[in-house]
Amino acid sequence: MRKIIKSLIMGQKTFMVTIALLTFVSALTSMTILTAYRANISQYRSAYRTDQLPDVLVKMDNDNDITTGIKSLKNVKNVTSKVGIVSQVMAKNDENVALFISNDVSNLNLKVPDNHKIILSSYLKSSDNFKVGDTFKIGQQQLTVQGFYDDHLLGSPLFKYKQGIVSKETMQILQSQKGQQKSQLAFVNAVKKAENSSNLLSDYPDRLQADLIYDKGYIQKAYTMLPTIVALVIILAAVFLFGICLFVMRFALLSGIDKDRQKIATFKTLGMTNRQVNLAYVMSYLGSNLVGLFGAVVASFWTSNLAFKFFWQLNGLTSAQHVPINIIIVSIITLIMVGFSTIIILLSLRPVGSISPAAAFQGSQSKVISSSGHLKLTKSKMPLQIALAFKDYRQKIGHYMTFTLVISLFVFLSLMIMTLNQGFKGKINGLFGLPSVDLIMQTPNDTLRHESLQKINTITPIKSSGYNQETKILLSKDVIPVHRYSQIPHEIKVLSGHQPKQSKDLLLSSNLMKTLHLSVGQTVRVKTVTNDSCWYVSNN
Amino acid sequence: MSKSNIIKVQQLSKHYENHKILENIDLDIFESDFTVIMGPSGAGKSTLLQNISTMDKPTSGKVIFNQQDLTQFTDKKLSQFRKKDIGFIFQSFNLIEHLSVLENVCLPGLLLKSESKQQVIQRAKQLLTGLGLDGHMDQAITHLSGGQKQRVAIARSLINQPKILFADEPTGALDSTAGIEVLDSLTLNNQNGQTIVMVTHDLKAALRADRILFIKDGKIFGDRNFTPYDASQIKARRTEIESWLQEMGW
Repeated sequence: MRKIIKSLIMGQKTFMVTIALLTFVSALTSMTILTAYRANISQYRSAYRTDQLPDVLVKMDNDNDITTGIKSLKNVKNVTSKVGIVSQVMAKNDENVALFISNDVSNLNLKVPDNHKIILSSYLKSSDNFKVGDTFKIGQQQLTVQGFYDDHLLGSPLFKYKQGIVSKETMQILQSQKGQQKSQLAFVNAVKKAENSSNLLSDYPDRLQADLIYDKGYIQKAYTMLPTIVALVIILAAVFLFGICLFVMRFALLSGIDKDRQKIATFKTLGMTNRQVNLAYVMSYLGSNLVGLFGAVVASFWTSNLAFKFFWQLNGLTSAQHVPINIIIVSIITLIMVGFSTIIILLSLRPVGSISPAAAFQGSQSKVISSSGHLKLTKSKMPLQIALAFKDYRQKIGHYMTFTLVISLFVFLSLMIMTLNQGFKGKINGLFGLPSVDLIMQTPNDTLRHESLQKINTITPIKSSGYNQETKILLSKDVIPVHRYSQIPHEIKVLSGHQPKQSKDLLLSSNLMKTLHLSVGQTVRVKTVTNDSCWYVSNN
Repeated sequence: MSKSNIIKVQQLSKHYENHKILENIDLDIFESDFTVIMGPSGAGKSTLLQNISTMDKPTSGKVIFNQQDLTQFTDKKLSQFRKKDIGFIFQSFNLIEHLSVLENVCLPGLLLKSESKQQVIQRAKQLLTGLGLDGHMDQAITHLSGGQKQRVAIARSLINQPKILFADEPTGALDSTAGIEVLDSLTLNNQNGQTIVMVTHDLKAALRADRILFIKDGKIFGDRNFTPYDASQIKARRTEIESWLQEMGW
């Protein structure tokens, strides 16, 4: 049988190699991604248990004691709080990063840094190019990056605050600076898991000023959704690739059988049954499949760890553990691929049964069996031109189909990524269960803000609120709040010029531009409480 | 002593679409005979050979072998019959290119599985030596001449000691010298008791026959027995056969 297989597939070595390669790539991709994805979820869960992360995390920007207030609420099991300041830092990629700076290292298994130094969440290392020794200013205080640590809670790229740890002395210096807003984080554990985390705070007196930045469901999604999206896209690509593999398999079999018609007939004259010829084909083609699968299983030991590391970095973490091979995933993928391949092979082997041993006689086969590619002009009821065109199409489609399918794969994936990108734009909070922003107020007056929130709350209950730190500047006679964003919100449309890139770039509303008779590129003098400097109008 | 028939063909017809190739053929093939089928192109010679050797299925009629109608055999029984009871030699050799000479000859023996692999190899070597191919056993088929290829095909057809050897224009693709070598091999086997049925349009091949069937328009137009082949009587035999064929319209 080995020699028969050899003789049947010798003319189809390229196809066999292609099938083995496509199987290898699709199996490797799916095994790697699924193993890494499963490992990502299970390691996240174990990390979650180890770190005992809270059910709800609330940010408050006032001096009140939030621990006592929240602890008195029903359904609240325990509350711990952390005091710090929130400040914007310019990252190397010219994006602002919102830092929650604290000197509290409880639950972090971290050594307190030296004075005037800061240890940052590891996400900032990978995404914002911070490195040890970098310096930046918080107010007038210069801080040097001393190191990085993995933070399951405030390290994820999806959280708006990244954490930085400083010494107690450095913290006091930062807090004593004029204009720095004190912030508190309350880590709340519920008696039982609340369906809606905002309900947990429904009786909290300062609820209107509480910014709900996290709940348990949110962090679960935050840690699994990015890898899920990536895994889904890659798995779809792998499925598509395996589809191409099945197509190549069918095309190779059909063309091979057609080409080897006389050889198959000769085997039959020598006494081989249809079943034996079929078995030779099944063994050779499944053999190619199995070679690819075996290679994929071996390679996935290494690639699964690479993929897991990638997922873990997507989560904002760096210290990924070693991932063992997942026997269940490997077995299921192997069974599915072998199953589909067997079905395609068996379906493609139908013509073997119709080959008569008489086809072994040179020149007589056309009399006995008409292959699918031959044109029966005598029997055809179609006009000749259409019949010829149809034959030409049938002959050429096989040659170009593989190429067409590969191109389709890339177009399909590109469209999918673009669709996902558009679909998720500005909807992350909603998707992850956090309250979306319904209303944005601009006011320099805290009392006015609080009163406004109360009035709104009488009309429609406010689930959560918070505010960005802002600087007030005086332009002529008007007090204008200057917002500092880590990213310009998509609701702000750039009408002309560009988004602020340099430290002295200023983005103004078109109304203000008209009021002040300014144009893009002009310099304006900005006087703040602590500063007096020139800014450049970069946008309108 | 009357010869016993090995194959009995009854009312065999073969049609392709509406074209009648063979029409109500009745025929006996006798044991140890060297039967040659001749006739003009398109007369139905090869079709008759294909139908009585089970390579093709007749439209109607019976092919009786060992009191069994071969036309009613299943795929499995037919393959067993082809492996065990018949050998086939093609005009274009139909050897498997990716196998060596020895592997080609062994193939039907290994498929039959009635003997051990060693026994099959042993007999294949004997056959190849007998056909003058002992120095070519491990060679690739592509390195052989046409005559050598056809002798390999003869060895392959004989490996399972078949009851009947069918040959379709075995000298058709060979030059004169190689053709004679092949015919000598066939004649030698026939003289050792091998039943041979051969289709040919080559007079030199027909000279080896004990019996010639002349097919015309899908029917047996003539059927004549001759004395067994004797190389020393070749001229007289040629004259006798030529004159008979001329009577048939050759």
